[in-house]
Amino acid sequence: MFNNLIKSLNFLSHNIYHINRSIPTVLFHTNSASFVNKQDKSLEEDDFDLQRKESAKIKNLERLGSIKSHISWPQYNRIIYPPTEDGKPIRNPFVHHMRHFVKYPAKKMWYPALMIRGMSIDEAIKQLSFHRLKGAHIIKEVLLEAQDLALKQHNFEFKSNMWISYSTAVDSFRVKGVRKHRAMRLGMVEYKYCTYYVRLEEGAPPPNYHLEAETYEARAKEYIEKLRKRSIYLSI
Amino acid sequence: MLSIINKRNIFLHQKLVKSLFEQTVTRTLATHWDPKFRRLRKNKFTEPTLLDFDSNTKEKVKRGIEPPTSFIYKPINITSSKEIFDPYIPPEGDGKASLFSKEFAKGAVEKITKSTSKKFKHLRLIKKSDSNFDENLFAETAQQIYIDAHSILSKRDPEEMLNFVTENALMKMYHNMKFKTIRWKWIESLEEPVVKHLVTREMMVKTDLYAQVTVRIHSKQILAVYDRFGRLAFGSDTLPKDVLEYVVFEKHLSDPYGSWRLHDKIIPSWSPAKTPVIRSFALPEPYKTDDELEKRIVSKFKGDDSHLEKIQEEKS
Repeated sequence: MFNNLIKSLNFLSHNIYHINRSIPTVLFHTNSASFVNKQDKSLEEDDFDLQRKESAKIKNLERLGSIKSHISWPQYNRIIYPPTEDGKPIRNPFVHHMRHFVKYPAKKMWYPALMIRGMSIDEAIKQLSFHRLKGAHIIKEVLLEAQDLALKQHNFEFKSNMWISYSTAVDSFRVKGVRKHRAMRLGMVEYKYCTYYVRLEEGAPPPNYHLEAETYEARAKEYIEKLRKRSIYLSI
Repeated sequence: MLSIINKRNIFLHQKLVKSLFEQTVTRTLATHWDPKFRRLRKNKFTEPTLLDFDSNTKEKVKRGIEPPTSFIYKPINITSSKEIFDPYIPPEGDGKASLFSKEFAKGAVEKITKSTSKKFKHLRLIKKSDSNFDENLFAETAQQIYIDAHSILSKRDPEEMLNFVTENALMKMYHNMKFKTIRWKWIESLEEPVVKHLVTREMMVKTDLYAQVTVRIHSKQILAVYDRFGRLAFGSDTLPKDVLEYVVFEKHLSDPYGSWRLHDKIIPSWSPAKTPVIRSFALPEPYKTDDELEKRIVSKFKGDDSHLEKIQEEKS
């Protein structure tokens, strides 16, 4: 009991630091999940300790850059664009959404994510519901959540007037285990987690998303525009 | 730093029920060519300590696991109250018909609220802290506070607004306006502002006193609310509108640094309907109120004016 109190106080200090920052919209599951299993093992480490250690590992990896940070993606939802004189918005309205720590390898998750790019939402949900992989159903849940968000918070008008402009799956971290082979040979097993990122935009999907440019002239134009868009980091 | 923390959007992963087709598809993938040694094969692998990121707290509580404890202590604010003490009931047809017309005489007599007879005693308590308190003067300063509070709204700075607005009103004004741009202009006042109602109340102890004053403001204003992306969502930038409001101002009398601030607005039921929002939307589900919770909530302010009886005794 007393040990748990001390651990919880240490956990508190982590928690407060997390709150005083600029407020992220996505909460780490680890911060809210401090469970104690009633059944067994008061002497060994609790789930509480494990969660804390894992979250510390994840934070360190994010600082180093080997995992993409989970906070920056939904912060794009907080940008406020000023009103224009014409009435047309500067930028096509969009919504960012993600789900992190999905227990599914990113290599497999990437295929349905690729399939979806450039589709309208209705068609994407239709196609995903009949897909063979488990990751497709997870993506479907994420899309429905994003649709609700867009309607309630970001002033999108119609439920089916959206299309998907960005969707990828990226691997986040792995837990290692061991398996036994024939004789005294052992092998390593990895349990993989991934994150899934989505951007929804308002309007009908563009007609040629995959075949953006077929002629040589159009491709040359794109190349030149890419070069001109570049900027030096931290320059004036 | 502000004590109000916005609720964070926690997305609950709602697991959808799979159709039969989906279930059969996933089952046919996970077959081995010789399933009879499946359980022995299982023993070759160590049990990994995988963490539950996908399940909710409700499912875990059903299984017997304790829910997480939160050690966040919420701060308490004494500088403002969360209610209107004795709400002023405005007469019907106030902004539409003049005093001497038929419509006004028929049914629209000003209903007497509880403590109008004790107005002078309330005034005396206020004058103990503010010696120069004049009703007519106060109405004009109150109008100026109203203008300042609304013109600062567009800056999205809650600390500046707390000079003109109490914490109760800040929650209501600041909540939905965070990701929008607002353009508000005050053109002119159509009638003089009038003080209609004065109340003071104690909070638990004799020495804590709060005062509330309702002021009637009739004015012309321009309001335009823009979206996160710069699209017009409500109102217009050029057309002005007539606005009749009964505004409540509050002051914490026993606080030496207290000041009169905008507290709340009384919107009567007979007021004209608002203009509709420009974009169409689906109606949300009706808001359900917890009856048990509301019974448990007890305000810390006494409902009586019993603290006024002591003034007569002192005089005599």
